[in-house]
Amino acid sequence: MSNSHRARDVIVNQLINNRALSLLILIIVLSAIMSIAFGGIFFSWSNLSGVLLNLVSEAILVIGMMYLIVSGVIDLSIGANLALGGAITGICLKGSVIFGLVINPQPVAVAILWGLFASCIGGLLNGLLVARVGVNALIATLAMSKIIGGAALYIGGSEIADLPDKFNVLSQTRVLGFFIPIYYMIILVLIGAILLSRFRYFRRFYFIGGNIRSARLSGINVGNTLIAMFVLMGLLAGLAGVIFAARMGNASGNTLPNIELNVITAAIIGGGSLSGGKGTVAGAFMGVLFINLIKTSMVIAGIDIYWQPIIVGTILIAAVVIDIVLQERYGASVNLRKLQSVRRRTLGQGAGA
Amino acid sequence: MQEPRTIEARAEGQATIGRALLTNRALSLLILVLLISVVMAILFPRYFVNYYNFRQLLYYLATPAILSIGMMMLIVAGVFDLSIGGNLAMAGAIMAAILVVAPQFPVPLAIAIAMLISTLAGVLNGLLVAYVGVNALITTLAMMGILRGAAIMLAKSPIHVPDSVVVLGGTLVLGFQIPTYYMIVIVLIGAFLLARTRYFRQLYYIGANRKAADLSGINSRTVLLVTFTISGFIAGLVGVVQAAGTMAAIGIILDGIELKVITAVIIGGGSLNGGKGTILGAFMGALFMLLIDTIMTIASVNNMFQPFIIGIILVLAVTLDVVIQRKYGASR
Repeated sequence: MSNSHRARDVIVNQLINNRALSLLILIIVLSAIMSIAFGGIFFSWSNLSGVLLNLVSEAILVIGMMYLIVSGVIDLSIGANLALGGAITGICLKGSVIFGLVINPQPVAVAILWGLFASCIGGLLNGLLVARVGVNALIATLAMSKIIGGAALYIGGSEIADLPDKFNVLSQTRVLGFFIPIYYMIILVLIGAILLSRFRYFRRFYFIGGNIRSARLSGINVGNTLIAMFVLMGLLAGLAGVIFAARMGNASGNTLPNIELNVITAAIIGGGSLSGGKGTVAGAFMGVLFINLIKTSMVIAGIDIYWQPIIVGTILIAAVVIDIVLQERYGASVNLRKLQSVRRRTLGQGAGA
Repeated sequence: MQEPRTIEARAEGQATIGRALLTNRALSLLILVLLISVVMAILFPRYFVNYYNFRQLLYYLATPAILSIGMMMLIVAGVFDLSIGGNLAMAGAIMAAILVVAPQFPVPLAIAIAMLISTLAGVLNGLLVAYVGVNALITTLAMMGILRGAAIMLAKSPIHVPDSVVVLGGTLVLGFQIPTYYMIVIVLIGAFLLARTRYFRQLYYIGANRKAADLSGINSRTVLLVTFTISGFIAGLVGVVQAAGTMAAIGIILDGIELKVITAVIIGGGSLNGGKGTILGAFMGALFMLLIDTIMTIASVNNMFQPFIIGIILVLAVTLDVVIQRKYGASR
């Protein structure tokens, strides 16, 4: 009896507290339903490859966003920063004149480095405003989204077309049937997940998000950690921008507008909490996958595209409300039962000795 | 004995004026607005100083200024509402859709239904944030998607509204468009409520420290619910007036207005940490932002630079705020 109790506890606990797992189950169920209902249209390599290719940018961004959310901050400037990374890379590849400054066409690697560098600077400014000046992260990154976005628009204009093939090949090659950005995404998500779950420096994010004061008092340099995190977010945004530009063969000043809100939504559905201290990269990735799967399913089912924000919004509210209700109802009791069983075991051993 | 005291008093008086200029955001913005206006009047006498420009400025001010009233109340309480843009679009779309489907339907009733639904959306926001305990950003972000989606579904292309509605948003009264008067009335009511009534003064306590407010007997849940409801009501009102003013309702109208309104409120002295801000400040913030927009248009600043400049102003405003708080906040 106690065994079955424990097994049930473990399952309940996993389902409630492991958002990646519960989302994975939902994704499998949804995929099964869609495969039965629509057969080959849904259950095909081309659909799988298309779905994965479309979520590359969001999945790369959500890694950094989850780091920030775990630490109790947020970044609204990632969409602008993504555009900036792509635009800078684009003008470095094609050559241009900005503010009277002549930029000659650069080799691919140099151009990419400039793009990533620019996005890192954007992230650095965010970090300085939040950690050094002490501006609320929402406001700081909202303002920076306008500044970076304005810069990206000025530099990139509406389009930098016909990027060189040497550059485009980085995203337009197929490997084993999938376009190569999907592999970049998988590698980055794996690295991001391992860093957050296994490395001490990244585990700090949970302390900072859980209680910033006690993190400070226990000797963590919160300011520097936050700055490093925003720079990392900038780097990821730049990478996403470069990969996207290569995939499209062009760059522009306003690629993927409003992607930041989609990314935050995915991170929250994936188990993050804006109060900080909670969330995993696996959960965040599952959040992105889940939302995109819902959207794809709606398109395949022929549902009007304008239902998408309504459904996604409803899922977002439902995810958070269910989380709150479950935590109130089971969160405490599961922990209590675990505590009791530990106590029973230790007491039992004591009595035996 | 008389002499030094007077000097001291005068120095103190000067310090008070300096501090008031720095800490009273409405006042410092007013001075900035006046300065900018004078400079513009000198630089562009023909475009800037004329009745038509003044009238249009006040007309375009109405929407952000009215919305900033509800937003300031929420921000004082430490929360905010991203769904106002979607909400107002939905109100306009519902009203227009009703009148298109049933042309005989009484116009006041159609307006009332639209505003009621917007108000209910505000109630839903309030319930989720105050009673269920969902973060305000998440709640209103989700509601933004839901309401905007609904608005677009109802009005994918512009739905024309009948003349009896257009009158409410496009009439000239005493030389100014009617929304200007709505704005004045609502700003005055909002300023009175937040500054003078005990019930809404509670928002400052809730924003400064919600737990302490609850412990001292304030029912923060109800107060937050009421404030979100007001925000929804205001969005509904703006939606109807906007549809009337543009003679049509369209689902994507004023996309992204919520961030503009939040920017205006923060420039007007609100703080996302809550407990700070006045209605007058919010109004001046909205006016200041609009003036900057107008100037950039008149001075034909490249479109691409406009967000850039607004971002810089926002960064300067909040940075200045932090610096002033460090310098004067503690001494008070």
